Amino acid sequence: MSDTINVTLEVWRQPGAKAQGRFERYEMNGVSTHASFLEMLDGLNEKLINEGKEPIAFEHDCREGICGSCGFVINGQAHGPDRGTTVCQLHMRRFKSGTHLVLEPWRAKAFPVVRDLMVDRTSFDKIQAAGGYNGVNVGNAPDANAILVGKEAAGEAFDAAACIGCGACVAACKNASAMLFTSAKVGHFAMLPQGQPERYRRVARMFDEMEAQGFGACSWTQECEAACPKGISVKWISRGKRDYLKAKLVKDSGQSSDDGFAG
Amino acid sequence: MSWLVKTFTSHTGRKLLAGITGLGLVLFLVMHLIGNLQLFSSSSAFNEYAHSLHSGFLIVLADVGLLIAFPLHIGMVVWLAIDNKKARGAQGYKVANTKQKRNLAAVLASKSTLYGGLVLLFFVAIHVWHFRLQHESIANGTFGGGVGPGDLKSAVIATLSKPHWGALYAIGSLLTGWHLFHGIQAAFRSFGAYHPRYTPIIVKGGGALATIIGLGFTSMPIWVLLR
Repeated sequence: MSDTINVTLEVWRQPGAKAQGRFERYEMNGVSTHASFLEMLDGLNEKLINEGKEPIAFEHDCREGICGSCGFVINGQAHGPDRGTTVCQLHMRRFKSGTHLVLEPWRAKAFPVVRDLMVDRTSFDKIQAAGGYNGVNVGNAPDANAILVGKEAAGEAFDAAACIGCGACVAACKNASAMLFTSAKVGHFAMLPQGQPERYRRVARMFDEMEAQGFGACSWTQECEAACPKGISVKWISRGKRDYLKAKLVKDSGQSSDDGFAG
Repeated sequence: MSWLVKTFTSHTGRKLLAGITGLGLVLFLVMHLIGNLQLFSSSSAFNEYAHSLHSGFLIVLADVGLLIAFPLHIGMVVWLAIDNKKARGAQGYKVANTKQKRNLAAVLASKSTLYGGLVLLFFVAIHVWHFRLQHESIANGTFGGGVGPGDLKSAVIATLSKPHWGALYAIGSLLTGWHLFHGIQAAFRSFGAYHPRYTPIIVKGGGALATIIGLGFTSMPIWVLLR
């Protein structure tokens, strides 16, 4: 295997939120196979800056696959072809020389493009703000074992809490639904004793907010799970729906969005 | 009452209604299939079945049930589909792809359930016109090629032996199976049902039931055409 490859990039360029976007082609020759995908884009951006052109805007922060900042679609696959990884942890050795790669931002009405491959994910913050927290002030951090949580419950809660909010689930869903994200955030609390008092109000408010933000509904195609860099299971969607229906049809809380939820 | 309306007009509520009505329709199809299989009997079992069905209470229950379930199922699903379409935004993807490792049939079935359903709408309309709305004239032998009054079996065979009708019914039946292949398991998901032991049974059982229903109904036009 040679140490460098040549790739053709077709990148969505959009100068601003309101501006008209279009695809532009770039030839990248002699890309090191040891480079990460974002490092390859850094190289392209240097080239563009040296030529006096606008560099490609894309989000990134930790580049370790844990912060949730990065993400775009490569040849129709959110975060690229590898499973269980963000695009920053994708490496150029994954591709053959001469590959044609189409780079597109997450496409969703609730994720408007800010610029190029960068989208505005405020809608996720709005869902989170609708109930993805404990509304009671509990003072300082308690001793680790003050509230006992069973091993299974703790493990399950952690699986859901692994969500980094990158938005790949929305990008991959044919309905641009935020079901996996919202259900993971709901489910993480629902597994723990601290999450119980507000459990049903939380799910009602977060699900309703998700809909208000313009995300689609779940069609159970399971694309979200496959695209999720943290491998969050679609079982959280079932659990979330169950809690939502209970909240709306059975429980005496969670019926309206104005039910005195603290915070 | 407004909470009830709000609940059933939310995405999750609409899906719940679509799931309940969908499973109701599956139940109807199972009964329908069992009844229709009498066609293969060499005796007059099919005619007797048809006669007792239409002179009993069951037909009224089925008619009323279908008149409620069908519009509700279609209405909820189309309403969801409109919201889902809007959610992608004006600009779609240039390249379509997947990262799924489930078998291709399951993935394709899940993505084509809506479109299959819309095609089925035409099939159901033709089918209802054919065998339900004209039941009286078929039963008294003035329509459909029955040999005499009450001879529905000959009328059904006469209709299905025409290649274009036979092909339509075969395709419609297969499409029904394809629609249910994803539909049955998805209905349970819409109720929020998940269990590590029972979910695999629902997925496999749903697929099996869909296959039985699809192939079961298809067997009739094929049998008539090959006879």
